[in-house]
Amino acid sequence: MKYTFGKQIGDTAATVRLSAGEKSRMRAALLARMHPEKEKIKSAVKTPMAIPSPIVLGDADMVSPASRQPKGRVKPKIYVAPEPSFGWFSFATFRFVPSALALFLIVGSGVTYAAEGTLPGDTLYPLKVNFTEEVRSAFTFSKESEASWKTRRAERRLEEAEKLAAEGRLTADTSAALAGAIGRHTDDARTTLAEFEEGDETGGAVAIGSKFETALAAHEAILSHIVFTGGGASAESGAEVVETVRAKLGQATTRVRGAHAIEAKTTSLMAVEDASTTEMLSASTAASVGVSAVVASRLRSAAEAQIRSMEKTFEGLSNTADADAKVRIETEIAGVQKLFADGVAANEAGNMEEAARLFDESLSRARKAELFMQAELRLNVNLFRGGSIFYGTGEEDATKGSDDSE
Amino acid sequence: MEKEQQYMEAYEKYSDALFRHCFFRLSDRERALELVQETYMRAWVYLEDGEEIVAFKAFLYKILNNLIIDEYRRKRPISLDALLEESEVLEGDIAALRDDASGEAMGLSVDIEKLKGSLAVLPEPYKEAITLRYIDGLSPKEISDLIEESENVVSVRIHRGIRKLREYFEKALPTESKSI
Repeated sequence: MKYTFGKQIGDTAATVRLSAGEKSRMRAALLARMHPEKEKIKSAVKTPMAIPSPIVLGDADMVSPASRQPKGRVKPKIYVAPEPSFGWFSFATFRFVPSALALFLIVGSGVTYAAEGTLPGDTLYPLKVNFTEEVRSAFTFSKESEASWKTRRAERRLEEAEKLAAEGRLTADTSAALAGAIGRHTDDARTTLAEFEEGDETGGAVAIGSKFETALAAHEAILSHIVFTGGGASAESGAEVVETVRAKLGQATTRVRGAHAIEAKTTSLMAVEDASTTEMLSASTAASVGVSAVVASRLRSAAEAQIRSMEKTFEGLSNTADADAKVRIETEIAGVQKLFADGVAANEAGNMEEAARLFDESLSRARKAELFMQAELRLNVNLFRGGSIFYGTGEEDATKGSDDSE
Repeated sequence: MEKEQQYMEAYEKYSDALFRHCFFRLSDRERALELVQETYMRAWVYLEDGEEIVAFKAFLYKILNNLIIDEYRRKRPISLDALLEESEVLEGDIAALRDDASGEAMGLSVDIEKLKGSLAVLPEPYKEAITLRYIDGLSPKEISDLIEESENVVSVRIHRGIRKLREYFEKALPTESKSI
């Protein structure tokens, strides 16, 4: 019948919709149109934070005071942040060139560059941790960049442990060494974060802390998966690292981060969120932090950036992932989008606590999804495979079989 | 503030539907994205000027529909060959249309490619009527308000449009249609 045919058309057509990425990009464009001032501030704030690797020259604009210090003094005592409006370009002005060059020569030279990709046990690995990373640490001039770098440093150790475990090269010795380093760097990062949080009104500490704790939980899951499904030897030698990460997760005491770690442990990535638990935890989080509009706005831009990054990772993955995994990832991405959209709505409605909670949650879930995808890309670990028990807690991984290891 | 909220709600609520509509009208995903964004931009400008939007859905459809009409006008007349090629309908198939193949009795399998291809060759204003009626699920009354034609005209267009579309479906891929 005609009606049936028409309905068929409608049902078929209904599968056509904006992709998560398209929808968020368009939303961003509309928001930018609605709040042109806000967008400007946001991008200005974001610039100094985006320091993904020690080789990035963008940092060089922060080096200038050092170059005027007496020889041998690398870290200046006082550093006045450059005007945000200068952003990236300040490093192009003349007086910055020598220091930019110096940093490039130190950190960007061939040997240190080669050392970047090394793992514990490699010849150049000590250069990476004792030199490149130390130099990099010396070039953090605000609490924020320091906290950001320290969390990154802890994550670098976790990534190394994963890589080694995935390649079956994780010995008891390296496991112990990495466990020690992870413990140290995590503590270090948390201390700095706590200090940063103290006088911070920008919400930056909350955003970095939230990302970091999510990353810890995700790495714990990835590591557990590799170690405990990889067979006997690796399970034994890797156990120490996994134990350390779990212990560190359990120690998350500070407000936001504590809630996150528990949340990450108790809720699975792909499962439909247990609304009551999540909401309860997050609500208490938001309340205790004393959320202001500034924090909400900061979390919003952090979440936005993270979501974009997650989508990009997904694009990179989409060729290799199997259909089932793709559906799971897409579902998760859509979920994150929804959270973020709800956050935007709450934000516009002036409900800042709710907005901050939603942005925080979408930031955290986007980060987690991205890390899982990256693990799949980097390590060929299929975390999204159908029937995987992977989204549960690490303990389950330990007890269940190794269906996913092949 | 309230205005913004309503606007963003309208974005979450209708952007997919508007995109879908535009996608089938233009058979061009990228262009559809642009027009949908433009639609929302214009709605915002309208709000910014202090105007009120009472019915967002109808308002947005109205803007989009105007944009699509502009788009048609701006574009050179599309060659049928190009359309046929794009939709993978062979000329021979069209000639081989069997009048006796009663659409009513056939269960057609409808997939997205076929739908897109068939709609691409369906002439305006039938395409508009069919898209609004079956893809957007608007009532003939709503369509009539939107395109400013009488309900009677709308009904006739829907009726003829669906018949034509059926024909395309049956012609395009006769092997895939199977009896119930």
